[in-house]
Amino acid sequence: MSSRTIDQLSGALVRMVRLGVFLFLMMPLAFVVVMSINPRPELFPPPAITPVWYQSFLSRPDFRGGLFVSVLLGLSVTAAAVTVGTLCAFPLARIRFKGTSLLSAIFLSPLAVPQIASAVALLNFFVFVGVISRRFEVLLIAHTIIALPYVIRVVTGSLIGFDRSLEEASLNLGASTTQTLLRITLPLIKPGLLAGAFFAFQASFSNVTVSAFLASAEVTPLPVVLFSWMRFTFDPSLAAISTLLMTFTTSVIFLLERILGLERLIGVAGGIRSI
Amino acid sequence: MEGTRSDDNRVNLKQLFLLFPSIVYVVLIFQLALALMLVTAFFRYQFPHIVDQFTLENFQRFFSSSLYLGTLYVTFKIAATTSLLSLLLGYPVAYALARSQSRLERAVLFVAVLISLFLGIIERIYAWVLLLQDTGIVNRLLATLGLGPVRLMYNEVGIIIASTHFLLSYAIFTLMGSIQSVSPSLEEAALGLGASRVRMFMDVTLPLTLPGILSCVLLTFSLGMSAFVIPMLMGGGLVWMLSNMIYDRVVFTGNIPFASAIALILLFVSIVSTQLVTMLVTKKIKVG
Amino acid sequence: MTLFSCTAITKLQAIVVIVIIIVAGAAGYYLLTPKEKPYITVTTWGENFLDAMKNGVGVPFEQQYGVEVRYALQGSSGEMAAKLIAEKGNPSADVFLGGEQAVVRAALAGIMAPLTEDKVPNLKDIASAAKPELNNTLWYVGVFGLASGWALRTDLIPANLAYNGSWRWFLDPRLKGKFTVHDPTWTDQMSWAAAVYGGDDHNYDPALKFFKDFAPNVKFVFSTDAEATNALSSGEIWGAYEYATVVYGLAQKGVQVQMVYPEDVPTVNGIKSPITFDIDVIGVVKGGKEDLAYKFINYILSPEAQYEYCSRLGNAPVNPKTKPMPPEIAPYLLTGSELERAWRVDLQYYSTIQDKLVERWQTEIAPLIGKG
Repeated sequence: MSSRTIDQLSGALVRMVRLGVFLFLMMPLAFVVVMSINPRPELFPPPAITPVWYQSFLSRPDFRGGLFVSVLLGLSVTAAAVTVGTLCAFPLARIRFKGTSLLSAIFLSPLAVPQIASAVALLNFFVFVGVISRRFEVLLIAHTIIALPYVIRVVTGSLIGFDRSLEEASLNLGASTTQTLLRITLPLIKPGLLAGAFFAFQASFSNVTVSAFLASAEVTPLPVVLFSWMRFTFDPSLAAISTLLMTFTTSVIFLLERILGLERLIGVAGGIRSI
Repeated sequence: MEGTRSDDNRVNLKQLFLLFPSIVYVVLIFQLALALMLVTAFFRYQFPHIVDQFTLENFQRFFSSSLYLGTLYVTFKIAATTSLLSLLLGYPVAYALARSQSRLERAVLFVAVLISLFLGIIERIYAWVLLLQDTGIVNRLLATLGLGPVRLMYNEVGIIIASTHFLLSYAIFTLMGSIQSVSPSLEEAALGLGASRVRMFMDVTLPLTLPGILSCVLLTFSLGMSAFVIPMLMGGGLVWMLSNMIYDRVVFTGNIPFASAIALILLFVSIVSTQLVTMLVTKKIKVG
Repeated sequence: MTLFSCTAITKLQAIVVIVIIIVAGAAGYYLLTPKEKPYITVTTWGENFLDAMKNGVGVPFEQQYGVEVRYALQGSSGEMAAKLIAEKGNPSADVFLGGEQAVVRAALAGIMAPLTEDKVPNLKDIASAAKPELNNTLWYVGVFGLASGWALRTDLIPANLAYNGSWRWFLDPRLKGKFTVHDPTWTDQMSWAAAVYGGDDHNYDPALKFFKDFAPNVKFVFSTDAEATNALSSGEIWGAYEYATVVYGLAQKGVQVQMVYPEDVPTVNGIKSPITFDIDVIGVVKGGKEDLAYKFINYILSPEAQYEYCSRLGNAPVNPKTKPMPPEIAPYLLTGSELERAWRVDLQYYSTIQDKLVERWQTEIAPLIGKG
């Protein structure tokens, strides 16, 4: 078989996998959207279209309150996690001392620990230290701990493959290290930073167990509200919330794309035709 | 701030300083909190109090029972499978996101992956349950095609499907970040020298994105090992992962010592596996 | 001006980011700091439980006493118990309402405050079955009663396989994979199974034997009621052992489901063909706003609150002075002769053996399930 044929075959295979994965990803999302307008959840396809579940969700103060808390918390956590995580990604990616691998493992540990264990441990710790009454701060710290590994992993990954010759060129041309950092390095790893920010927000926004143990009546993140909601029945209000959130995310993406262009949104374009 | 490249092997004090905030969060708060709790694994539990008596009985209980050892095995198996699937399925998509010249393709894929990321875990499970159960959409479709119902729920298959769906977005973004920092001119050079696409991928792209692949695998594996909500709601009480066992002990009997013992063992296995994989791949990166 | 330009991060962009961080943090701090108006926090499950609590009890209480009621949501009262025990001295809730098992554990862990008639006058009216004492002290009181039994989709069962009133029907081999059961953390079901095979709430070996025989007919085991209601509703299974109140909620959604209590279960503790019966309970958490908490509990035990709360949930009130429940709830309450059959299982004993029992279940029973 000529290498050209192999190329074509593997190209076709990869395209099929890509299409399959796309459908796999979208299927449950589409399903959730359909369920959110279905007046009779046990039937499929839906016999009619109804806004009932949206009204139910929007009219409830506990859902609205939960959404507000989660958004606020998520934004704060993202800011904190991206800052702290990027700071430590640099030495992790660039210094080769004996402890790097161990340190990486330590920073990854919040992900490896079962959420229920983290939740109980953190709750006990905050009670022990005496700060438990400051619920928002406590949730902020806990969520940042959970979000950090994502940011560190992604940014370190981008930095390791990073072509340092660009930095060297900039330094050689007389720029200071700070200028190099701000104008060369950070912009080029922006995709990594963005990905880290998305992960951090998601880690905080969707966290159930740790939030449940650290929440209180005053500060109740949305997933805690939702979890107590789907204990007895699978309520389509959940589908309504998801659809709203997904619509919101999509709109934000489209808006950003209008302003910035897709290239900047995803990263450096160009390159060869994909296989 | 970073020093110059020739400082690679010298430990620069300024750079260590950058690590400080992360260390505060992860080590001083998290690990300390965790250690304080996990140390109870060495104490006896007499409902509902923890007794001040050093003992190894929690560990003995774990290792002497095929139930717990079996669950450890199942947990590892599911985590490894999910991680591998996410990598294999995610790489092509990540590559397209990084390199495709079709604006439409990249936009569509990006939106799909991002929205999937933001779908909450509970709604995700809700959708998969309705899709995969015996009277669910998938089986109904199969029925119209004349094929028998396939048991996709209350077993490992359903858990792997839902977990992979959950982890794919993470895998794709992690890989994408890494593929992007590899300069396309390297790939172009290889093609310019006459290599086929497959050759170019194997010899240029793949080795250079190994750090990203490693990140992806470590991330998805760690998440997979501590998976909890998915096996709880889709396992039908027939498939458990270690996190479910920890949850049961904490929530229903308050047996924190035994729960801590299980958590310690889970952590140990998780860390050892990831360290092994990291060592293997880092060796490859250095050699290649 | 492009915000994410790949050419540079200007000072402006950095300032914008920092400002966002500060604003978000400050907003969070000020908006989420608790206000000074008097309030108490009561734990509750979500969905219709939250609605019933809020509309039936919380709002009238607020109007009468001028104290705001806030709700700490729990997915399971076991989780809330674990949380409150960890928060010892600084609890996030003043009133703990939960399943009896969870509150027993909280009481034994020493975080509940005792209930007495001078602090809660309405206690004297409450049926004694709803005032179980632990070590001669009353740590919690029942807030409603609920029966549990088999919920059947009688509309889906073919005529030749119809339910015949006997427990033996459940073991019919033609019903493979048609049932779901709760995991062994729930006492009622284990106790019913124990009774069927000649045991009782202090002897669960017969229960395990029963489940070994029953396993082929079980499709899966559930831990959240949503799994069971969803499966009943879609027809995935024909029967589930559930609380009558949960089934009531399902029936209100139009699903044709009926509660049945087999009549030929052997006598236990002098009770003929026992029907498992629970109380969900409420108590005061030590270290919270105890005075207001006692007032709240006293209120929820009053006939008016009992009526509003229980009628919304389809549960049985614990205060005999309460008005009769609306007729549509009747099928879900134990009435007449059924009341004689109500069997309150010994939960305290169960908590002590639960760990080992769950292990035995997972080792001996679970592998046999789902093969149908």
